[in-house]
Amino acid sequence: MMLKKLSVCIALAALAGCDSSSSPASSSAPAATSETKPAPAAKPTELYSMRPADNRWPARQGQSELSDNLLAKNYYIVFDGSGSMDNTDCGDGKRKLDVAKTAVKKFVEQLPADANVGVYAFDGQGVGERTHLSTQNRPVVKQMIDQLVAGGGTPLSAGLEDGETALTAQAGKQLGYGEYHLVIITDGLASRGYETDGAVQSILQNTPINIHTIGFCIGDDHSLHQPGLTFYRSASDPDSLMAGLNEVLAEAPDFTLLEFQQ
Amino acid sequence: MVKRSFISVLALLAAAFSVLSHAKPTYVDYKPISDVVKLNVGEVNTRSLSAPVITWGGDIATLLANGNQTQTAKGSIFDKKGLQLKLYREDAFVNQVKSYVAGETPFLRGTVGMISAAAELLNKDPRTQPVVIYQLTWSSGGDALVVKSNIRNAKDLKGKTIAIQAYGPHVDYAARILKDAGLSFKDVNVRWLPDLTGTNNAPMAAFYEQDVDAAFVIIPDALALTSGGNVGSGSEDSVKGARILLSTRTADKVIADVYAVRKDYFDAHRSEVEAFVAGLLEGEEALGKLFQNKTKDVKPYRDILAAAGKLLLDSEEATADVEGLFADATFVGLQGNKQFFTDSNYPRRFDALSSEVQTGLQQAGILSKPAALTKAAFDYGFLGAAVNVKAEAAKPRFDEEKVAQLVNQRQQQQSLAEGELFSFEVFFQPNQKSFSIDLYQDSFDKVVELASTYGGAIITVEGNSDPMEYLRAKKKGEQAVVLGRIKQSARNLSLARAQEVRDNIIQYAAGKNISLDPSQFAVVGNGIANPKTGICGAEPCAPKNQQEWRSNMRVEFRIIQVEAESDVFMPL
Repeated sequence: MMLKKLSVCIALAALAGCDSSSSPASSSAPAATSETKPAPAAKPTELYSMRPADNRWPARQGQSELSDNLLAKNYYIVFDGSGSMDNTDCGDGKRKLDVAKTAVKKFVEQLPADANVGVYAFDGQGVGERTHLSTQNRPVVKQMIDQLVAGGGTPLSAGLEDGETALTAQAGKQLGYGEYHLVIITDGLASRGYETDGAVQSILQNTPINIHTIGFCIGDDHSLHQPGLTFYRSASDPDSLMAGLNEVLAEAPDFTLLEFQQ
Repeated sequence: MVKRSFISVLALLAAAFSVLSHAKPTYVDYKPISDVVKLNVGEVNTRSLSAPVITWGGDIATLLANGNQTQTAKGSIFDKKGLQLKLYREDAFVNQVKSYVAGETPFLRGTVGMISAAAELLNKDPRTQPVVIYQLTWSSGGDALVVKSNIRNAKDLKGKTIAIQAYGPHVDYAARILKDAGLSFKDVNVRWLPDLTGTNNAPMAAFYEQDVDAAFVIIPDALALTSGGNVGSGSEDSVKGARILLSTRTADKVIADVYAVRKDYFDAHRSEVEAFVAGLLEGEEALGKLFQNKTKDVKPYRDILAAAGKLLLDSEEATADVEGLFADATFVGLQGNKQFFTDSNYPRRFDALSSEVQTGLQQAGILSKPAALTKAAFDYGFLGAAVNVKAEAAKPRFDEEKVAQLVNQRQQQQSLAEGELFSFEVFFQPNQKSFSIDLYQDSFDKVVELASTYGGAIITVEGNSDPMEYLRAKKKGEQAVVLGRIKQSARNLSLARAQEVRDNIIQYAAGKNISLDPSQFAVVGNGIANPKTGICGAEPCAPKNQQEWRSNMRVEFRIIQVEAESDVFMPL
């Protein structure tokens, strides 16, 4: 999958800009889209969360191996390692990539041992899934994060789409039970052709996947910032980035018995 | 369980009568057997000992033990035990009883129900009192209830007309199904027939009558009536809209096939009776191995098929039918006999089954009062050791993953109730996370009993959550992300509840030394999608009062028939 995405990126390089020179990290970058406004919210009745009697996710996909833990939590991290992450314009004088690496590794360490984690990244080495959802991959995850090299564009929608696919496949193994979190750490706007509106709408309308966007050193007007529909945290320094990641955990507490009080 | 593709000889028999005519069947009065057989007791003929067999898969083992011959063959299992037997087929149970009373044979071969029906008469003379000595099999696919389109579940049988063979294997089967549907023979109209199959006076023939809604038949007849086990198309021998409501593939612990022996013979020839039982045990084991290694042991396998075809079906060529008979029976072997006769905790033990059967027979008017059946009280462990037959450990009988996928699919299609045989609910206290077994003991006992009786059915344990939290949040104008979390949390909660209940039931049964097959249970979490208060438009209806609110906090047990989805059930 990584190779496939990489080749797509190469093919589109001339048009959308996949190298650091056309990084969408800056709002003035020519390759960036005009995603400065929140994407229009889906009609409430179309959202999966607004269809309380609908448990049809994931759609039946034939026989698949069942998970031993149907109630497992799942975290799929989309890590932006685009060229602009090499900058130190925020991050307390440190490179944003280094700050993000430290924070994400710490986040992974804090995940419950029985939670599945997967990582998708776009960086100077390519675009695609670096490790699939698993409970046994913590050392690999940290190693992959350590190896990220800033570079390339910001194909955000590809990250969302692959994240949805990976989480949906895992949901097939868990029959839709459990928790599903797509955690996006990004510092910028999507490269042209990788706008996220469609991918976000697809997730919101069809799945119970929680979208957590931690906008690293960008404003509150990111395309993935849709109040009431996605969880958004603007991280303007290392501490707030870490706080944002901690909120992802806080947003997904162990499910507790709902209060059945009148 | 592998469903055989066809039953040639039996199907031909069934087809023959249906093609010849659809003459009105002659019904009979189902009278106590004492009104049919006189108790003129004769001495048992011990010089030339004979034993009846019936057209049933379990009897293949008896034939094998006899050396594939009707007269015990030299070197056979029975011969080595010093027995000389003449096997003969007698499917008309009343005739068997007559021979038994007359002393022509000391053996009775039938189901617990059939022998119970004769017990009231036979117990009147201490010599003919039947002593049940051995269980050969459970029927696990060989018998079925076929219904017309106006019957969707067992409860719909109320007020309907059912065709059943008198004195046959389906009387107690019918009693059990009616009981689990909250009915009895008093709630239905029964048309009793003298024959089991193949004639104009069998239940299959009666099913063609417009005023007959259901019939208990053997599986070849059921397949013919339902266009191969689907829904009858109306062509060939099928009845339009007819389908199998329930077969012993699902209710696989209802019809127990046994041998009984006259008390006077048992007392005077205990060692011979023990040798007979030991021979049956050994024959079963040998038969199992033959079927297991049929590609290696080709000749002995073919030999037993031909011999069984000849004895049981009047044709050496009926090998496919013999394989079908074998597939429709579950041999219980040493472990099963120990459990059946000596395990006081086993829900389907002989005593419990006998009592259940006799209640049904009383309701059917065939017994005036319970007629105790005696069991031999053998030491089956000793018998097994003597013939070097080992008890096998129980194995999971369902493919758990396929069951989970199937149930999930049905949940998504909102068709979990399809094929529902029986269901009941357990309600929860608010905020209840765990269960007090004492509080649900009756329900748990019911599950244990049903799980043991309907071993071929899937039991779904469906957790449900109350939607009030979601609805209240929505009314407050909470954001979609919050509502989504509540929805998914409620779904997880409902599954966790179902898992907790399933685990508790298995633990509860284990505490009673009853081993339930965990693979039989499929847990489902409906979240707030299936509240008792219903769905209003696209949303759960808000409970209007405390009673309704409490009604949503429930786990529902559902026994569902999955015969059409055969790949979830793994043959033993």
